[in-house]
Amino acid sequence: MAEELLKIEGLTVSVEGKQILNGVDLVVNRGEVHAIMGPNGSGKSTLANALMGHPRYAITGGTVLFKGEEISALTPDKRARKGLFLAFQYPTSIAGVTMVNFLRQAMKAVRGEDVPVREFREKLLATMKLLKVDQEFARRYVNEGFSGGEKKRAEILQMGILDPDLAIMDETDSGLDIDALRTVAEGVNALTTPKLGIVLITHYQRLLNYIKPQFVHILYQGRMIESGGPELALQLEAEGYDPIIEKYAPALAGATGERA
Amino acid sequence: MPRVRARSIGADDVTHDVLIAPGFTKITRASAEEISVRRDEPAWLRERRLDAWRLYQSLDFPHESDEEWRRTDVRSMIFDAVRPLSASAPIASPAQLPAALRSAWDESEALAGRVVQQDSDVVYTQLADDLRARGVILTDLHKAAKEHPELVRRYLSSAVPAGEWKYVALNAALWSGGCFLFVPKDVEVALPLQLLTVVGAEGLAVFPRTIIVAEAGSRVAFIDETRSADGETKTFVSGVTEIYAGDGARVEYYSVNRWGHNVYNFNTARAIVGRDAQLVTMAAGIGGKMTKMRIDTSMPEPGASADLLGVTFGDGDQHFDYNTLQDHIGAHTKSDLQFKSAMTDSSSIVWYGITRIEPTASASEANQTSRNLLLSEHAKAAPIPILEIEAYDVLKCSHGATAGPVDENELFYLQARAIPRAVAERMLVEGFLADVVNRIPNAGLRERVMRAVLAKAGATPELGEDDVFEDDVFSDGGFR
Repeated sequence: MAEELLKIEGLTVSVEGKQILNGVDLVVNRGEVHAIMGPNGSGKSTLANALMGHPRYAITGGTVLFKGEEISALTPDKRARKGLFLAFQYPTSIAGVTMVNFLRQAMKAVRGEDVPVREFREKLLATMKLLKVDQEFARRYVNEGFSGGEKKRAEILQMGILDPDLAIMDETDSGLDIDALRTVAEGVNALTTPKLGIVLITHYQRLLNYIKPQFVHILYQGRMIESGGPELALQLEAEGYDPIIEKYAPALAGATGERA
Repeated sequence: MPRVRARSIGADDVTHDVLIAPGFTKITRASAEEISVRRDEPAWLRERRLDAWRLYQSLDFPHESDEEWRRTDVRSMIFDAVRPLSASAPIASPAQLPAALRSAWDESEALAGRVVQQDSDVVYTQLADDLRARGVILTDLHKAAKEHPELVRRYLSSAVPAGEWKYVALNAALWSGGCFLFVPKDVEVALPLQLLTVVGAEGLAVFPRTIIVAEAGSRVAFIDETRSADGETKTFVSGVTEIYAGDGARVEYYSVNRWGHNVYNFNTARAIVGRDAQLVTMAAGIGGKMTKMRIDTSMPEPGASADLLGVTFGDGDQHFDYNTLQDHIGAHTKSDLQFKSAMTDSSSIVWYGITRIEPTASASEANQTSRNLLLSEHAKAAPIPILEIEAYDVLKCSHGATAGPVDENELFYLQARAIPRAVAERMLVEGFLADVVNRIPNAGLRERVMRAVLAKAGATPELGEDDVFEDDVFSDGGFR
């Protein structure tokens, strides 16, 4: 039987006093790829940030079990050390901190011990090569002056260095042209192992042409309103969100999905 | 003797020789004369000192309504106990410095020359032979006044007139030791020169004076570093630095303040930047109980440029107050000010900076950025940018000032990468300041400044390791 990585039950989350998630359920096992789709404003990024432990996103109810342990009260660094990873939609730039210093500190932290220079170097160079990033990249300040594509590749580079058990990708496809999207997706696929679980958060179907999910969920107004296989994403691509929204939330239809 | 408080003294009062300095019971006109006699100075210089003393007596303290002074009230500061002079014998090598000051000396540093001032005297001077042969002068100011009177007469108190304000006048009357650097036309000094001012005696008043003259087309970098151990009694410092960058010259001036915690430090540095000349200045604020520093850049000729850097780490009850002026007079002049500070405990910092674009300064560009990281709820920062634009066709004039805690999103980002909060905070402080420190072209100085800053932040500096590491990563086995 598949090993359970993440189990979310009845999760409610508030941002600055306003409830955004209204009871989310999700189970992700090792080796599985889940896509969470939904119109803008449905709570996708809130889910990602709350799972990682951003202080502005308050978990007000429900449970989040990661590898069998409740992580709601853990600081973000402890969650990361347990093997949880978030690829940010809008990665923060940090002037003065070089990528190479940042990545080494991160690798040291996730391992809980110093990493020999040689080992770090090999890992870094191999991952950079995989993602087709120039070596100059490592000398630059974290995300400072990076193009949209460079930022997303830097996120996947961090994923490669941290070697997580569960990777949540928050709109990793946004702002990428088709070539950049392919490079990023190929990088993710190359880093995929049987032990890894992936949650892809996306607005569009196109990323799913490159990273194939076994499960697709629709998040709408802070609730999972539909779950299915890959065919659900194709249906969305063809018909848009409206038919599903109308089917599952008739009372609210018309007032939704238009915030983009 | 009467103790004269910090108040205005009319010119009529200033005829008697024994009148003392307000707030200083042991400093008199006789102190100025004593310095002059002890150094066997020429008559013109003695006259200048006595003129300056008269100015000192006649000048008012800045009023609290003066915008540049309202956050640092000097009128309440009394330096009763400080003595104006001490005597230090010359030394053959810096190894002979008092033990407490020896650590200031870094033998390994690649420098083209050094001057060491201990208390009131220059005790050691060294300059590379090839530079001496090419006409470079690096010496103490007393000697320069005797050996090169035409140069010293011309440049002393020219950029910073004695009557500018009270403590500048006091310096002009009482400077002792001092440093004179002259770089002839087209001479490039590849390695930096260093002035190390160390104060071992407590309760002293110290009046450092530095003149840097870089003739047309020359290049030089000058490190002005000050050190003293943390003492018990107040030490008073009033320093003046005058910089003259000739046409097309490039001058770098790095002020590294590592005074002890008993030092009240007043400084005025002004650079006159010639046509197409480049100036880089850095004010590194690390030590001192209180620092009031003025850094002015005047660009009277077309095409001049100035990069003005500042990095300060405050702790305890340290107070730093910087005034800057970017004065654009010539056309096509360019200046960029980048001041950063990290303040903890109950330390405070003021930056009051004026960018002035005069009517003649067409097509000029200027920027001012002051960013202040507050690491404790009791730390304070007051960054105040002022723009005075009188030209019609300015290319760019921008400013930005911030003060606040470590950015929550940056912290979250690092923590999301498994880095514990304490380490993440340290990385952010280090990165925040490194962003400015990394602009120091000289690698040795860059690292030393960063180490001094990080030592205050309680961090184990990993800087060198990272540098080595970066080279290590890409020097072999890469995909170059």
